Amino acid sequence: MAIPTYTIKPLYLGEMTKYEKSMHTFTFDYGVKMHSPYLSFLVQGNGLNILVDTGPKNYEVIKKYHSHVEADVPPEVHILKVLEREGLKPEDIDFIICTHLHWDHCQNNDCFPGKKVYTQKREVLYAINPIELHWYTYESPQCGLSPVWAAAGTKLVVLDGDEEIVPGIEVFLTPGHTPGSQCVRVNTEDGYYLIAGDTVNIYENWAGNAKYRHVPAGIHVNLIEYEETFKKMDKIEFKEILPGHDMKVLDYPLYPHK
Amino acid sequence: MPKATYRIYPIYLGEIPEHDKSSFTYMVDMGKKTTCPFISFLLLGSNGRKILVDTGPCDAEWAAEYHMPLNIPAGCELTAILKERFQIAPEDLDYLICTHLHWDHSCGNHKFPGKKIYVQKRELEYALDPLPIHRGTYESPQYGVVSSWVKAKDQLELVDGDTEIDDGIRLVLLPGHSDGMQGVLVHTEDGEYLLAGDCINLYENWTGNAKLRHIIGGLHSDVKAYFKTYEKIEALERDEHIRIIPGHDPAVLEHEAYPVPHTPV
Repeated sequence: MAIPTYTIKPLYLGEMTKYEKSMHTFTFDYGVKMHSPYLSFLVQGNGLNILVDTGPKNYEVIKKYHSHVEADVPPEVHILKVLEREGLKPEDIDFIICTHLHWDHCQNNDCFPGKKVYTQKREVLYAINPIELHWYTYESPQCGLSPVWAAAGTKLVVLDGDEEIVPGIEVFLTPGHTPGSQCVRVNTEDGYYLIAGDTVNIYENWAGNAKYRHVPAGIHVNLIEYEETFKKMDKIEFKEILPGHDMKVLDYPLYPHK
Repeated sequence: MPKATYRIYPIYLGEIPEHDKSSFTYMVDMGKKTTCPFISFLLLGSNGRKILVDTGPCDAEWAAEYHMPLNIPAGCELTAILKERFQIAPEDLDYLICTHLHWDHSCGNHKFPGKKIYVQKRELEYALDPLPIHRGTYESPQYGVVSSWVKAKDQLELVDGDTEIDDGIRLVLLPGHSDGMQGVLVHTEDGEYLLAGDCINLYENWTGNAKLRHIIGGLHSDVKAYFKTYEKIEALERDEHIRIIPGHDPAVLEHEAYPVPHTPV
């Protein structure tokens, strides 16, 4: 039986307006500021609507807890509004895959009550007790917050490594940016596409530069694991990669693009 | 209790004039430029010991080609300073300690032939096969040059973890900035001093800011290990009331020696 194919629609959920580029590309372009979007990906096919990451909640929440981020997140680009324009209600989503549990990737998990959220065991374990530097990034209990990924009504499915979620949708454990980051490989008519989460923030991370074949993200937990992840990704077959925070992802409304 | 006490003399060996401050303070002050002085430390013991901690950078020409432009004023060569300021020749030293094998701490190792150089085993292992982003920093074999620490490789005396190597001299493993970074705990008349190497680049790394108790260095391999190491230093502060001397803070050079003599009231 042929493996089902899917399409991938990147969803724009607001942006960081003056983001320090070296936070995306470690040790490169210190002091350079850039626009960087918050993204989700709507994966459709085989009768399924799958959401990869759920994006930030709203500007008030960001301003309150993540005041260093200059962001533009108007209500009209909230995930539910964006899905509504796609003709989808929360109940139409079959399941969610979270690439990792940083707030800007899971802050709307509670908008999809009862839906399964696939995430990695290593990520969950780290998210409940991160180092001080990452408390706010995870909105972890240590800084007095309740992370949305643990909200009542959400239904976490904890994975332990690489796994096929449904035919044509696989996840790969890719630690580095976070201990339990995962990439999502989607089978399309044009071959495999890899939704990379923040393991690859922008295309440049994967394309590399004159000095390095790949550039790790400026936010990371372990660079040694990150390099192992890059080596692992070098061997994963895919046609195109879709980074977690690159405006250029939005150049095409739908992947695969012709 | 150690019998010997030591005095710690910082030695200025030039600097990187344009260094991004966030390479000292991870995710803090990105885009802000600062100076990065190179500092070796001479330890003179009441028992007559003469110990050198770190041997500084390569010369400016080599750095311009393989690293970055440096400012090395005339008279900043390590053996010349030891001779003129301290009347110490290389053969007079008892041994050397290298906090880690980054080029700016180990490029003078070969200037002290025959002298033992204490390095952590983990540091050597990592230096031989570092991450791609650290190959230049170690001048590792993959980088296509023969690094200065390799020239003195037969002198390396490997230690594995926390080790008391001498009366009043203890090495402590402090992974984070580099995998096998070690600090030197030095017994002085004023208690224990920690030469923290680049585990603590600036005093600010340790004093922290409004949000963070401590700020780790911007160059590192394992952020989680770095935080564990800071917990270890906190324990040393609590249990032994150590005083910290950072690896690249210009303020370290404001005093000729540590402990700083008390000003008479």
